[in-house]
Amino acid sequence: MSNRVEERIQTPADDDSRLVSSCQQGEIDAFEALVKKYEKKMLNVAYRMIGDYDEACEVVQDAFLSAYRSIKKFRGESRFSTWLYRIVLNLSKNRMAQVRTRGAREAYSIDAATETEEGSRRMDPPDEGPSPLEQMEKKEVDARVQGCINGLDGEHREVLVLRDIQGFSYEEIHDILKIPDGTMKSRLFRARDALKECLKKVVGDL
Amino acid sequence: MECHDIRKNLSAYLEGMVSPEDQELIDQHLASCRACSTALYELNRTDRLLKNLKEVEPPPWMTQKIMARVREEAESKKGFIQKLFYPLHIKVPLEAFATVLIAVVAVYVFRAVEPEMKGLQPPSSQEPIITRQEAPYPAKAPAAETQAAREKAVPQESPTKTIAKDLAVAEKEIQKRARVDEEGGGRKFKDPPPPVSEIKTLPAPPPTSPSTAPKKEAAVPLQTEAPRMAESRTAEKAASPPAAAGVAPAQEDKRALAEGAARERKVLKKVQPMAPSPRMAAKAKAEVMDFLLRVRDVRIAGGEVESLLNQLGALRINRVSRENDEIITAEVKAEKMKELSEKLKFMGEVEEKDARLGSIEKDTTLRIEIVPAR
Repeated sequence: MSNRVEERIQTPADDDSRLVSSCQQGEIDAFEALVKKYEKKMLNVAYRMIGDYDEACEVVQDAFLSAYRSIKKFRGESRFSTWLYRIVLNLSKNRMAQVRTRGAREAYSIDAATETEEGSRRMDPPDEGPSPLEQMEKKEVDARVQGCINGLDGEHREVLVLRDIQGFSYEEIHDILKIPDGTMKSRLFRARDALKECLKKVVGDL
Repeated sequence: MECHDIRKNLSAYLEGMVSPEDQELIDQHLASCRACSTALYELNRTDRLLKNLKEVEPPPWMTQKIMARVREEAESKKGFIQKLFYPLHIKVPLEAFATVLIAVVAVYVFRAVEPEMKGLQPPSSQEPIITRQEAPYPAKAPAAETQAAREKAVPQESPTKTIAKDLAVAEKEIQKRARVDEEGGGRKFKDPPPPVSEIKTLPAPPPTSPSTAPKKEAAVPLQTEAPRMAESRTAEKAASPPAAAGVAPAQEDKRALAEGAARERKVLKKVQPMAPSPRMAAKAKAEVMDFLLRVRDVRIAGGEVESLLNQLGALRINRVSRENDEIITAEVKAEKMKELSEKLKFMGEVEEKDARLGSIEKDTTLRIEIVPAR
């Protein structure tokens, strides 16, 4: 009876810390529970950061392995999830740099698109003539949005992904990225503006 | 507020993160500025598009793959310490290493203790036996007996012991000649030879015997040839009455020869009933080879030869020191024979009484006689 009450009042963070301490004592099954709990969110962060599903899968695996290797150093100063997102973001940014140098990924360049204020010139429009967003398939819209995200640099991309896609609170983002609030917000607003401008060009009128 | 400033704050405005004063200003501006309200609309749409992005699903193998890598990592991490010390499983490394270590240590301990163990063991029959018999110098009866025992051992030996026999043959030759000598002088010396008491009673040979002079000449070289002249003389002194003072030198020589022969027979008789000594038994096992080593200092050379034999692993080393010579007998392995003969040559003049030295192929008993250089 009392157990059930305790379970009910346990927060996810408590649950994590229990699993983490089990991991620290060498229980691999506890780590598997954490993997199952966080892998989807980790993958989505990685995918939005990198823009490539397969690369994102690899990054997530590497991130979990890296987390396992250093889990004994995890002292619980921040939440486990925060720590985990920091790892996957750092690995994703490294991977982004590799992808960009390979030139394997096409990104819509925001700078190139802002040459003229009201030109609304499409960069590399996939189709001739303006086509309303509603007429596009969701998958296609998502791909173009992702293309615009890929055009952002890492600093702007990570705040955008964490805040507007993953819905983290400013506090959580602050914990993950360890940057001042002002910096974080200015990056976020600039990222949104840039993305808006990009989307206007690649999908037509919003 | 200009449009530029308004647009900078639109994001914060959307999130309700602006101060109430700013919010009122922005509201007023948006109502009058179409471009800025469009920007706000677009911003809103963008936000909605981002929030509507479809979440991707992890591949079904993701968890397993991650955990496989994690377990691999865990195995290799605990591998080093836990595999060595954790009980159960198959811990070959630690046990195998321990076993090898114990074996190595055991061998070392055994090797370290072995020499001491050898010292503790009673000397076996295979150990070299070094005996040194120091004979009293004015050679008396015991000395003569020792020598005689060695010499007379020859007839007891098996027919193959030809080397030692050489000496015996030489001695018999002397005896024979002496006998002939005596017979020529009118003396009847028939076998078996008379006991010493009989000899004592024998009258001195007539000094006028016609064949005395030539036979004396024959006897003189024989005396030098006979290796045991000193003993012969001693025996003579003991056996013959001292009344012969006035006898001619020729007669004395002759009588000495005769009595020497008689003495030898007597000793032979005395020795024959004796049981064969262990040394004789050893001799019977191997060939006997004689060396004559002429050196400046017999005693020093004796010591050197003895230690050389020890070095070469010779068995049954027996050293007999006498007034003028040393006799060392030992069993030497065939393969050491060449080395021995080389080293002996460094010490002095070596006479091999048997020339087969190089061709010996089995263990051999050596008899090295060390005499002063000429």
